[in-house]
Amino acid sequence: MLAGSREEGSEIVCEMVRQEGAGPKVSVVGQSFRTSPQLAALANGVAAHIMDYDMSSLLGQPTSPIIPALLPLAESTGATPAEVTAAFIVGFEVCLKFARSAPEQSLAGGWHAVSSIGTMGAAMACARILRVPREHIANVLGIAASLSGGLSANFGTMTKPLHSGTSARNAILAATLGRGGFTASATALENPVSGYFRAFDRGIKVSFDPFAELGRRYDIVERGFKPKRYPCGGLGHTAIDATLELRNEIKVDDITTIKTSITKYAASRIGDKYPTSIESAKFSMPYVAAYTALYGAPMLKAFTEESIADERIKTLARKVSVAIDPEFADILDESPSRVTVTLADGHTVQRMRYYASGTPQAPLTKEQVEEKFFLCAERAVDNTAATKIFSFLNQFEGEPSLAELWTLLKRG
Amino acid sequence: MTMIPQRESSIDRRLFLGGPGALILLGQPVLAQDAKSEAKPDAKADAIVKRLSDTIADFVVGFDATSLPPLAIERARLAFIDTSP
Repeated sequence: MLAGSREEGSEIVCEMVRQEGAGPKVSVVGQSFRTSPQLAALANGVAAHIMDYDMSSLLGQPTSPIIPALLPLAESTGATPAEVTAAFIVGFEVCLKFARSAPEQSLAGGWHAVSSIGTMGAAMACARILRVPREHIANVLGIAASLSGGLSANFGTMTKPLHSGTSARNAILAATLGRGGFTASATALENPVSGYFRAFDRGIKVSFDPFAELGRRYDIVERGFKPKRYPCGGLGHTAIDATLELRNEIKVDDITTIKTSITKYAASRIGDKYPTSIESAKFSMPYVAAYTALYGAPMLKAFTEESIADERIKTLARKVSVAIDPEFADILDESPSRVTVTLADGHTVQRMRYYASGTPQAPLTKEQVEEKFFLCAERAVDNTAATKIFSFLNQFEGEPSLAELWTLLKRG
Repeated sequence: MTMIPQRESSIDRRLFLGGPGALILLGQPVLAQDAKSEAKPDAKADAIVKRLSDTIADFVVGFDATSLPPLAIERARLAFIDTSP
């Protein structure tokens, strides 16, 4: 969120929030002004997702809006870090159960899970923090179901992270209204004609079995999530990892072609065109593959106007092709890639990566987690504040209060 | 491993009835209906819907983080570390 707060899209949203003139009740991460919890959640959510550097799990980043929504509520209610941790796990588990109930929703349905699913999980996390009475939670679910949405057609634009912002805002809206007795249909989820699952999963197989596991089996334990190593579309990360491995065996000047083979799901999200914007660069296989071959891991500086204009990247990107790999074309819950480089002498080298860096199967090292933290945090706050935030978060659930954090997360 | 099905399929609520979750969430074999009957209000369906909402509500209200394995808390902490900056 801190790094994302510096992005152009975040600045536009924050300017709108300032103009709304809401009561200055809570902090906005990376900003110096205060606003209402809902507007803070909107700005936090956009900042969390705008760099596409937030954690992934099933169907992309459905859990993206949870923390952006929880922080303003924690500040306004005085919730402890332990309570916020519990609320996060509640939201995470609900998100993953929705995702597992209809794993084709993003691919075949065209929905962006950050919104279509994230709103539901974040609303339950907010309901937990707000201590919504059990008998009103069905109303929160019903309200959240009507406020979900998010079209994947907007990938590569500022509207993609807006989905995280609106989901975080709508989660607070749903939980607050539901707590107050605002009603929603008791059939909002399963109504076979017009319910949530009918609307979002039209023509797609749905099973409610995962919900039976709530409180019994925890996806945060059994599946985990992927803190992203690279600030770009997660479905292309295995191709980046594979290209990085190949860099040691080739000379860039000898490359005649780079063939990237990916899943159908990845191909539906990762483009084969050279980018025209920073947002689209994050979803361009020719760009990220060429950048990686030339310069190594595509970190924050890869996604700048200057890098996109780099003639060396443009030239090499023309040699990159994207194909569906028949061996793993239909896989949905991972995003394997095969990268085949053909050299001028006709020789080819190839690498296949099944799990991306950051997944539980290939976790980031402590050093990589720390490197990412400071790389991002120092775009918005000074090193002293970043160090204090990092220390605080490393013992998060054991801290007695979040009060110190609100000051530290202000714009430096 | 989750795979894309090899055939087109319309929404099949009979799937909702299958598997162990059906016993908990649905209880009765009443939702394998045809399209015409779907449009009609169905008291049994309403009851079933409430059972799903109840399942989620029970979890939200009754969740006890102290009962979780340390890995869950560790990963939650990592989520805050990874999201905040």
